[in-house]
Amino acid sequence: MKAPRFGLIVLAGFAAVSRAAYAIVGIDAPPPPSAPPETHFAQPKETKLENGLRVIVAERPGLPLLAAELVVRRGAEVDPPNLAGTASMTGALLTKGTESMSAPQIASAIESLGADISSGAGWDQSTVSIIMMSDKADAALTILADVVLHPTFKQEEIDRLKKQRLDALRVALQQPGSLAGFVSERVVFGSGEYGHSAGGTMETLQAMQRDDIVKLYKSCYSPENASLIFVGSITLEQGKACAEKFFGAWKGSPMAIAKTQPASLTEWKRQNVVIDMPQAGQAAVAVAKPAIKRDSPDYYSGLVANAALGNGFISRLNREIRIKRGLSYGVRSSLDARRDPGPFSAAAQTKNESAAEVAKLLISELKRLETDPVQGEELKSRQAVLTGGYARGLETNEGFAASLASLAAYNLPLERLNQFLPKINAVTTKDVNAFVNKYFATPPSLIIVGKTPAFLEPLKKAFPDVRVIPQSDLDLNSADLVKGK
Amino acid sequence: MKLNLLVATLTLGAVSLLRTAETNAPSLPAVIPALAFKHATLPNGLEIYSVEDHSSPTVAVQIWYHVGSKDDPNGRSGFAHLFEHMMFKGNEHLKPDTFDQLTENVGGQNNAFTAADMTVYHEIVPSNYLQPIFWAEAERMSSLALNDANFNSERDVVKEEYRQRILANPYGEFSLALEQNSFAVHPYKRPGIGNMAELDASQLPEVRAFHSTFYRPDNATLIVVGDFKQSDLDAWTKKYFGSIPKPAEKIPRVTVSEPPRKDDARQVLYSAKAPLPAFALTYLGPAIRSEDAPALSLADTILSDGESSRLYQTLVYEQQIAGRVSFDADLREDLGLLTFSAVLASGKSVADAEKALDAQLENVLKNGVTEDELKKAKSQFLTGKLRELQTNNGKAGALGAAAVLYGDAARVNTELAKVQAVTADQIKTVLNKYLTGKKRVVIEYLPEAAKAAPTQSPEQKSK
Repeated sequence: MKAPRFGLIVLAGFAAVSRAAYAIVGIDAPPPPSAPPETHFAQPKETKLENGLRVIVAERPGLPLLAAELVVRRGAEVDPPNLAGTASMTGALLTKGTESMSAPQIASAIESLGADISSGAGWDQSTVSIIMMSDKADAALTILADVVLHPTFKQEEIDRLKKQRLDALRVALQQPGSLAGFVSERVVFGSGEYGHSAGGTMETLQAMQRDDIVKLYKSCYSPENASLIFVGSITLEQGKACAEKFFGAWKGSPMAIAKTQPASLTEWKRQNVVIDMPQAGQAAVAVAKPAIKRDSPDYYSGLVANAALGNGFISRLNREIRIKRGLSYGVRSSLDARRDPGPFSAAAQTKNESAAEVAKLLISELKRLETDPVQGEELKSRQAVLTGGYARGLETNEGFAASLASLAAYNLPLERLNQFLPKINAVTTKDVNAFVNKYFATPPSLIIVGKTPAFLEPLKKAFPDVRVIPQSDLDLNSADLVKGK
Repeated sequence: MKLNLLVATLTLGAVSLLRTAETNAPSLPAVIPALAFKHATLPNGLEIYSVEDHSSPTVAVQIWYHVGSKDDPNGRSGFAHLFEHMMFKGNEHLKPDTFDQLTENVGGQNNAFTAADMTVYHEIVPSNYLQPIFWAEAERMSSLALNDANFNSERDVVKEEYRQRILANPYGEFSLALEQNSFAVHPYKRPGIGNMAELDASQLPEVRAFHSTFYRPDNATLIVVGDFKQSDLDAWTKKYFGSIPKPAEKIPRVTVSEPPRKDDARQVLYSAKAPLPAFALTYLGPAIRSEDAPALSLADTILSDGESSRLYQTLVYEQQIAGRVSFDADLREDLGLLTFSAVLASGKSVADAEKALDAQLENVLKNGVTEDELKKAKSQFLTGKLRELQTNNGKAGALGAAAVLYGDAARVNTELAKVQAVTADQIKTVLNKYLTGKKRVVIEYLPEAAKAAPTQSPEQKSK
């Protein structure tokens, strides 16, 4: 560490000088940082069981806490047409009853161990994760294996979960932010594999039958299609022995599954959609368009471009919308890279009266990435936002396990974990520009959910082609967003 | 986390638990290493707690100011929180974005939150940025440079926060109503987020006055956990914070005491946004430093933490009356609030749900909790503690809460033993102490459509 540079520090004697003027006598500017520390993460190791299950272990001695995660390389992307939410329901139902335990028995057994289990589906993967004290691993992993291998999908549990999800959805549909999210998916992907609501809609949840769930389970949950991850005070040998003991008897091979085709990027058409929600207490304003695959060579430059735009308190969007104009509590943009090209989006909530202004700012800041390149200190700072955030995500055993699960879901080499920092730091202004030109050259779609009388007139001046859909006519099952024909 | 760090602390104050392992599964004994913290007080009154821990190249820094929403000036509900936002606006030396530049821009993060009793500013920085962040924290403790432009624009941000949390959220107004209706005179009745009219009425000079009244070294506690050398830390805290003067004036404290409730009360509210009814029952509870706190915390877990908890199993799982239900023992500096709340399932009425909840309360008050439930809650508590200790920030938060809320930093290491010592009888006793024969406030929050029933009135009615 470097020595501090200022020699003359006057301490308590002068302490009484005006508080309003300065705190630290003789130091008016921040002291420079000392030499940066090095960051390195545990190196994950892997092996495979005879049944094809991949076993990944990151040994992190220390606290007697073990995280385990079972990840299956299929998610809401394989929801059957008109049955949005099937993968999500299937994942959630795993912990709701097995051949030997009822839902209350599973909950009681897990919680008695002090453990925590959760299961569900993302877009391209389904996971069951559990965190436990190391000395309770045997009992907890017995339950993990049981819910993955022997779920019963009892009709009673399906009905109960459906009702809970329908009620939760009734609430979400009254929130401008979550409704804008559902609408964005349709606007970006239409009838493509990512166009539906991953959690299901009022209609698809009601239509879903037990057979649909069992079929999805049989098609996707098999050892060849799965990875088991351990993070904590555990060696590869111990991890393999555990995997063998609890998952060695798992049989079955993945069945071919009819999958909705990905939306064609070349056919994608920009559209500007407003949902009129008469009771909206605030407007949700979003821009979105399809972007990149997870294994795209543009992944790292895309993350940096996105970070400059809307990742962090002083990213460009927050500077313009929150700091300079006080128009929102916060703005963020995201680049969600998936197995097939996933969405880029940026969103903010603002008072209904400012919706048009925020929409224009979202568009103009996206445009400014081209004309005012990300370079110098800004580039460096956004690289740090990404590398720092990545490192914080790996601080906990469960966070580390989730990162490994994501690499496994996309069949990416485990070395990527330790390559993230250098790869982000290698991104140049030229790389960011190339990304911006390739993916942001045409403007995104605009999605607003709010009280239209407050903003429609000024909005139409900037976006004359805007299409207004009353909330009562909205149909999230339709690529076209409206009911009937 | 590196094992060698824990060796020194494992023997000191570690709590051993039963071992059950008997196979090839990993079986480190479940012990919680004690946090070996150091404490110092500067001559100006600043309290400093630190834990040197080199398991990651970062440092978590938190400053807990003993001022919260209960200290909002009269007619200025929401002021302490609005003020918290102004603490990021800088002074003559501290440019407006400094905190973001010293954290976000170098891979760290910063934020702050305002609670009823305290306001906490927290950062995580790469360890080579510890000195710069000390400088910046000391600067804003010392003074703020404010003007109408940054005040007005930040107030707009806070109003958007209000809209986002309260107006855009179908149950936002329900959450406000809980505090508003549960306390008669204590300032805890004013929600920390405030209201639009009083935010609008706030003036710039009031911000300056609030700073000089409450933001002073003898009203602050600095917590530092992570990758530093203790000798550096001792020198740097003195160097950056040591010259901030301690004002002569006494720090004003809320002295209002909330009287026991005389009557039951019921408030019925209607919402155009809420698709499902919600309701809450509240009772007054003890202050956070009460010796009843550990038993109430376990009661909270047994009743509503996790899907095996009593209220989830009965109201959500078996009877399917509610989509979610909770019991929250929210203990604060002056007194606590014990809140049962539920958002109902479609087609269920508040009357059904209240009856079902009352049956559960009656049962637990009469029969207490089982030994199995008690053991389960203690296991959940232990894992929760272990998870908290995975990060520097988690450790700093635990230490800050012990030092500031409980006034006993050592509690960060002794709390587990206190919780492990609670008996099933004690849980039954404390629940009866605060619920049996006590007055309750009921808040009903109903979809607008329910208003159609002609006998119901939107006005307050007594039970």
